Amino acid sequence: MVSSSRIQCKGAADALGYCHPVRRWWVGDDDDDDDDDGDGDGDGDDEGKEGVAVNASGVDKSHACELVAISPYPTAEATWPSSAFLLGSDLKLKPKSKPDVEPCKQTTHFQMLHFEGSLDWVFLPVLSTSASLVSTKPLFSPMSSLTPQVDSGESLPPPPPPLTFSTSLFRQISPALYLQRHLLHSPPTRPNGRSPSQCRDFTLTTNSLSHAHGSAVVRAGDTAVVCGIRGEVLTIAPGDDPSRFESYHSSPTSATHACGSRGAGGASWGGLIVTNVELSTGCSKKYPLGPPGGLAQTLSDQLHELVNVTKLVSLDSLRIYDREDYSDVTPNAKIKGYWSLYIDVLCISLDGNILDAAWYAIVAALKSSRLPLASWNQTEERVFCDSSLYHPLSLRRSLPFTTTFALISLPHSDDNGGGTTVLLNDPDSYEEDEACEFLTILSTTDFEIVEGELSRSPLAGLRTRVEKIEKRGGCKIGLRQIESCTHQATSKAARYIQSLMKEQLTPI
Amino acid sequence: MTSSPLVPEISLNPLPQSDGSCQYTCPTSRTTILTSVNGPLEVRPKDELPNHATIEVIVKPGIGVAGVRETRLSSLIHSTLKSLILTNHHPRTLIQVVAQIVQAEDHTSLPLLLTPLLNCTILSLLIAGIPMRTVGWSVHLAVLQHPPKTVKTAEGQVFRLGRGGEDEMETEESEQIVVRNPNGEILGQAESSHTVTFSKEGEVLLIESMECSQGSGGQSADGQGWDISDFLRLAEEGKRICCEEGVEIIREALADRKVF
Amino acid sequence: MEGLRNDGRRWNELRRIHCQLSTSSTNADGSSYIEQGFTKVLCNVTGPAEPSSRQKVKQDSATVSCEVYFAAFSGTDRIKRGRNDKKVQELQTAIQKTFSSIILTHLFSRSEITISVHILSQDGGTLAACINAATLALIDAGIPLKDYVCACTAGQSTSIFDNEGASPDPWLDVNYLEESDIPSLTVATVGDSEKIVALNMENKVRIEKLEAMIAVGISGCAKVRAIMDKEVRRHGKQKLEAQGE
Repeated sequence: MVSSSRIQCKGAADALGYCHPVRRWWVGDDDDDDDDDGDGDGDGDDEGKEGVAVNASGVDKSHACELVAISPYPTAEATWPSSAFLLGSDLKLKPKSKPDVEPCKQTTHFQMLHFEGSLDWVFLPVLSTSASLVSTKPLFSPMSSLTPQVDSGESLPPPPPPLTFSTSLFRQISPALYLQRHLLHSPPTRPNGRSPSQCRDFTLTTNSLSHAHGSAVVRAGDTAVVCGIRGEVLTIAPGDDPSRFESYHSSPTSATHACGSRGAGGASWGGLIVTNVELSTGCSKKYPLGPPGGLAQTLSDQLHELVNVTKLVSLDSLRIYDREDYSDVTPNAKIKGYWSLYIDVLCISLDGNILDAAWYAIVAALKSSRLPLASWNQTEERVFCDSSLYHPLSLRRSLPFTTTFALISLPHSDDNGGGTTVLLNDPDSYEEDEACEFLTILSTTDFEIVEGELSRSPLAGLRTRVEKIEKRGGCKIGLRQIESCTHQATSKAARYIQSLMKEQLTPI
Repeated sequence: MTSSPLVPEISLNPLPQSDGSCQYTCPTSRTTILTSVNGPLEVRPKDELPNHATIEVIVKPGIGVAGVRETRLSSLIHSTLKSLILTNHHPRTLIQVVAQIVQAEDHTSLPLLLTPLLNCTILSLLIAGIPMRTVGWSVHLAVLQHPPKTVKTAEGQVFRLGRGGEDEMETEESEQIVVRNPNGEILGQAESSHTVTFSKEGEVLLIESMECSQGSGGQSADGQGWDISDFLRLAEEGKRICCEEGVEIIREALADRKVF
Repeated sequence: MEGLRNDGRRWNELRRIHCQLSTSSTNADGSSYIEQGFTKVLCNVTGPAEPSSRQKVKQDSATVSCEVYFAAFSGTDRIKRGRNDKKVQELQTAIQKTFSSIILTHLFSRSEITISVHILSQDGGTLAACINAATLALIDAGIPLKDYVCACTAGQSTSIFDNEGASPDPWLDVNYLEESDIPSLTVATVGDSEKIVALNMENKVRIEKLEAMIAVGISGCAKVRAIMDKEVRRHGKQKLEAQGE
């Protein structure tokens, strides 16, 4: 559905102060003198009860526009359109009971037709694909500029100043259109001011929690995530086979194995690292407190999969041996237990792209974790931890990071010559709501730190290795676009690593 | 065609009471899925969308109760179906898809389950007569370093994909060994697993690719990962499989049915 | 050392208090973050808004509801507390009852004000920190209150002097180690007056010592109020200056 022109509305915020329930009509399908419902007016809709007539005779048939009317209760003296304001549509209006009042032709602005008494009606086109960008300055003028007309029976009222909406109102009424208008601009900008390939600045703080073995707080824009890592000792029974714990992708053996590991929190891989995400923390009005919903569960599973795909933690470093002296590693040292890592991610504030923030928090928290030295005490037959000696976790040297993109498809318009798509790097929640297609890339690039600055390691041949790609929803993204996204992912990874360096958690 | 080892065993409308159903068994991984589609149905007011039909996908596991893994599978299938089903044909209704995992080698492995789930769901949507924009098909590819050891593979299941690059020579090392629809054992030996779903027109609907090599992690996992150009070549091959063979499989399966 | 506690404080010294308002301005109507020593608590307030369930609608006043969430990594042991955990429910009820009497609920009938508290780290004085964080978040949300609600803990150390009759002074603002060792109570007052709005004690102590503990707690609350008020004024000034630009 395509309708016309720009939206310009001044003083509508005041007008909408009289706001009442909203009704919608489809206009543009019926003929001039069609009187299907027999109420005497020329439109096909049954609006006799409301006393409203909207006749779309002037509309180009290919342009159906959707009108939103506010306050369907006209004043008692129904001088139609009795206090109606029309915005930005190519419409001819025929009043219901006064055929002698000239229909008002609207071009790109609306005209004040007749203003009597209190303001009752505001119409505005909701869908519009005009290429012109709505002005980003709020245009607001007080009600007093809309002077009432005493009698407009004989002559047409003088053209009134156009009504304009404030941009925040436009954004609330029609978020999709608002976003599209911004992206159709050249160069395309997003409502938050970033360019499509620009991601948000983020801050990282580690080791701020006293009881956790490792912690990190990541803030990217308004998305804030806290990750805490605790190690718990897992003693293995004498009959247990330790190799079950030591591989990230142990092959399935039997149904009972799968069942048992499903029972223990679903950790079917390795089982030593357990991830958990909490979103129902009042972080966003969309996720009220209560049991985890779909997004929290999906995110939990995705992060668990990421930890196992990337194999960040070296599982043999989690072993607890049966020996007194740690410097003596005999091959016969018996494994008495393992450190089991519990990764808890808590979302404090949610403004889109929680996956990237959560994963980065996990990587930083693992990097900053320090576990006490644990050893098996033979006399007491228990594992003892030496709280004076701490050692960091043994992790991978090249750290992988995720980058998420959202795809917005722009509608067909003459200027574009066909629908195009825009990929937005690091979407916030407003953009996430409008997009239905998402791409996440987990990639690693080997960087070398030269004089405090990052440069690509020449040994790796400037290659970025991809470890996971997930694309879901929609059908518009092409394989070539995925390649360009990988390059953006590399630059984002560089920023992550620089931030880690600042926290003195250098990867090298 | 029906006796070819690569063609899945499809049984249409095994559940007579539902609007559309399908049972799908992958011949090589022996994963069996049963899906049932009902709709357009009456929808709960809180789920109602004014201009579109609401799609609800429920995945039921073979063992135990549904957990986070099943929720994730449902959300992946839901996002794929949203771009296939013409939801504005039946606004304010519900299209409900229930998928039951009947048999799987590993009930917890996402890659082994995703492809059969998607294919089975698409077939049952066609049977149910839900208006769709186009059809799609999914295939699961696993990339191995060496040809699979001690596992029997079907004819045509394993193929080699040249890495390409600056030199024209395709030596043994420069080729990737790709297995189509692997079973659990082959997947255990694989370096990476790729589930790709394409529509008939070649649009990308879903990609779930991940690194899945064995190991105990830490520094030994430092060199893992694949190059993006290798991935694109693999995806192109997947596209060919989905658009040609996948669509052919759908046509054959539906060819006998004159009345749905 | 004589006269000093295990963390170097004297008997009437508070731990370092650091508080911030408007930490999550986009997602909640009011938010705050408070650190009392190593106890870290975050609070979000939403409302007045439509009640989430019909049962909560009261015709003449607003309903105050509270949700408390303990992060799994907040204590010395990793414990995931569900919604039906006893400690969670106790804290929820205490905070809800405290604020029901302090918020001017008659101004917002048939609405609900939700206070959600997240405890990121526990090092003693959890209830006190939650109440303080909730007060700040309510102020940030602009919900009318009678006054600040300031809470503080006080503990009675048991030492060798007991038997001689001259008991030592109660300790103000106990941390986790002290809390596990000696009996302690939490007291919350209305502003810096001596009106008590909440008093909570879970240990046994001799009745003669109780009054001294409460008195020390109340004086601690007055100090807490001063710190919170300073931060609120600073934040308000900063906000006004930003708007004026």
